[in-house]
Amino acid sequence: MLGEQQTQPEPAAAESGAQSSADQFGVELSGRPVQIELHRRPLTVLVIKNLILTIVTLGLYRFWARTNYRRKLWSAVKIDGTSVEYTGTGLELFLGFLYATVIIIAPLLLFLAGVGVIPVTGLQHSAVSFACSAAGYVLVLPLAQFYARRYRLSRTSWLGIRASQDADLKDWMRKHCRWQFIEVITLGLAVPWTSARRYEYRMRHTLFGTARFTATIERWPIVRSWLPAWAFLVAVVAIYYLDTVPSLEAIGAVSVQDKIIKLYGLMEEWVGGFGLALGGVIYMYFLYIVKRARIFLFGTTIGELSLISCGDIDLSYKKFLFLFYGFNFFVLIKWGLYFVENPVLSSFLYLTFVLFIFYLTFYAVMVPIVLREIGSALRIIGLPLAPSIMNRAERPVRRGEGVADVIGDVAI
Amino acid sequence: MSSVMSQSSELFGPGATVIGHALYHDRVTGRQQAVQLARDDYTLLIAMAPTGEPLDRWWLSQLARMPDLAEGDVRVSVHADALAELIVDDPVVWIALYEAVPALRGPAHRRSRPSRPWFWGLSGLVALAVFLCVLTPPLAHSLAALVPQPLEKAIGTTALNYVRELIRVPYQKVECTDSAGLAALRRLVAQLNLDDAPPFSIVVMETDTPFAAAVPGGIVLISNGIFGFGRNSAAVQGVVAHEVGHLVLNHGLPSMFRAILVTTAFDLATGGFGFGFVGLGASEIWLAEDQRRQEREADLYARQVLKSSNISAVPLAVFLEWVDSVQNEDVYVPDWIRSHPPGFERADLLRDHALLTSNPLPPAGPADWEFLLRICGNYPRPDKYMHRLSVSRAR
Repeated sequence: MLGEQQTQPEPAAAESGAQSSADQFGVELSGRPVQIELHRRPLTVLVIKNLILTIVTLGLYRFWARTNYRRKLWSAVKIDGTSVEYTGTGLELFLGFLYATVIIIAPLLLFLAGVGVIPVTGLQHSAVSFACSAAGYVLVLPLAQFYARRYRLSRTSWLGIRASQDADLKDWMRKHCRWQFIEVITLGLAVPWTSARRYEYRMRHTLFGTARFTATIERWPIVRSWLPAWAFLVAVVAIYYLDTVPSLEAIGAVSVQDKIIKLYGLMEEWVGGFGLALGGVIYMYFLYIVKRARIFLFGTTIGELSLISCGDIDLSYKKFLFLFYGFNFFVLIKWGLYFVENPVLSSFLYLTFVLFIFYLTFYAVMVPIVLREIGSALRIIGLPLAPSIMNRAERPVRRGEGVADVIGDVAI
Repeated sequence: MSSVMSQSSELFGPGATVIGHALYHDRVTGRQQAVQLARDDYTLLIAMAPTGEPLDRWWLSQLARMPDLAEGDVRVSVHADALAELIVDDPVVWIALYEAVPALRGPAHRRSRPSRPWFWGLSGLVALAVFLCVLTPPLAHSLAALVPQPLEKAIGTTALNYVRELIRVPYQKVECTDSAGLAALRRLVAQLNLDDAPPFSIVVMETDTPFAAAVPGGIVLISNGIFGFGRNSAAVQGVVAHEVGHLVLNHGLPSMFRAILVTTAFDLATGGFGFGFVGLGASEIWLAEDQRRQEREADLYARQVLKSSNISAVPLAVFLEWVDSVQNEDVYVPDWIRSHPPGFERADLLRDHALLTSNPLPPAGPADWEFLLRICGNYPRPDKYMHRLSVSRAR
């Protein structure tokens, strides 16, 4: 097939950037760039408007806010001069939420009531609550992701061709539960392996019109970037239980409130191995995420189209992201400290302010930077073949994301 | 023809039955593509002609003719709103398809009705209102009734442990067990006419903050700050009577279940916005009125108990007013958010009775009062509260 020849471009041709050339089959070798035209000012205005209306309506506007933001984001991505389109509506999300609420409310309430009245104390109570929450997480999260992904893909189109997902729910749940189980029994060591399997599976069931996505992910590079993050995580847990907890008790932090204050104090002052290890986890996990995103993206093909990278992601972008996460982490710690020391009402107002800043910086500053960086490193090979792709005759997805909206704001 | 059939069989695999050719029509872009059709046990296989590249696969059970077609126009798809359809021009192929796919013998797809946003939006709001106003109270009572006695006691113990952990301070025991103090407290409680009350126990915890609570399972919790703050045995008796009122009126478990139901409903409605604090705040406001009603009921019970025990309710009224004024000095909270009615309102309710009490019992003697104050081994330290109290008294 032609696609097999295209996946290994000549290095010189790959470096030639936006200049596209054609071989004797009329297929591009160097690939065409993906343009991301996302300007900060209109996006900031949109995010502020969304935040204000969401606060004023006590969260009810979130469906329309998310839709407006997605439209902006999707339309900013231009492939071969044509924008990607988001065709979803706020009403669909709202209806999906209502529908899922009716289905999920009875088991959810029973679950919450069950956890709330478990008559055990101390560690037992924590263990039982954690087990119940983990069971809920393992079962509900893949379900939510299934419907959310299906909806988002069905509302994404380019040149009139819609994307879709054709996975079977039972198979999806079975596989995701198995991978989560593996992650738990290996204490997180298998995370890169399961995430690669998960990504490959999801891509195998993702279509753009009649063209199917496929992904072939190399395991070793992501394992290599995961190991330092995992080692720091183990160090954090070990230091917390072997050093920080005894230290807190030694300095007289006995009550829960006292422990929280003292722990926040320790973290704020960045004192001791705990703080350093925690910083290590955040930084290493961040590097892992960036590396993984790059490997996943460039290991993906869509029928005859394949995505290739031209150069690595800029280091300043990594630094910037790290600073962003560090800043927000610090702000949340400050809020936690403020919360345990101050009356509820004033800490609630403070939290509102913190979240406002957090959402604003994330959605109006971070997202455009990340997208632009990815776009600048991205080329698509085989684009002239795209017009041969046609829409599939799937049954239309009529409602929004449903479960994902019920369990919380889990996506853009 | 036979060579074409064998070629198609190779394309679709050994289990597939070849049907013939048709046109695949993309209803969005308008593009058309010649395709070959075959079927296996469950699906209709569609491959591009003449290359044989797989194009799509439809479930046979979902197939039907498209609606509102002109005479002789044969189009098939999986849904009336599907983005693509098959146009079968060749009558021979249509007959083959008709025979191969039983679902095609049924009616055509029905057009789906457009969404009605106002209907759904209004329905959502009505459903939330019905849940909160109509369903929650009886549901909470029903759930509470299902909890057996031992489980209720265990829940109470859990709540007690939680409070114990929350107020614990270094080098200080939490529970006060001074036998003389407890005996003095028992003598005070024995003066109350609590014939209709279920069996209950009193736990005294050491904290200067004056607070009292009734937890499920028949436990009345009071802090020794109450003694330092109340400065009067009748006030202490009133506080105990009020908390016993919560037990008698069975406020504990139903309130807990109602709080869980309402908080969950608000959390769902607000989508966990702001880390769930918006939902939590809304549910607190929603539940506040019910909590105030319960406090009024417990006050009425305390008033009745004090009256039948021939104890003046004036000290309790004064105590509640002082607590209220001190709390208002700390942080001003509007009445409609508060879990307790305003202190003056509660005091008025109690003073009504105070006028009717003709011969109040004398307060506890100095010895008993001393024992009470030392129930935790040392005197309570009302520090800032006492300072504000003196300011309040001076006013």
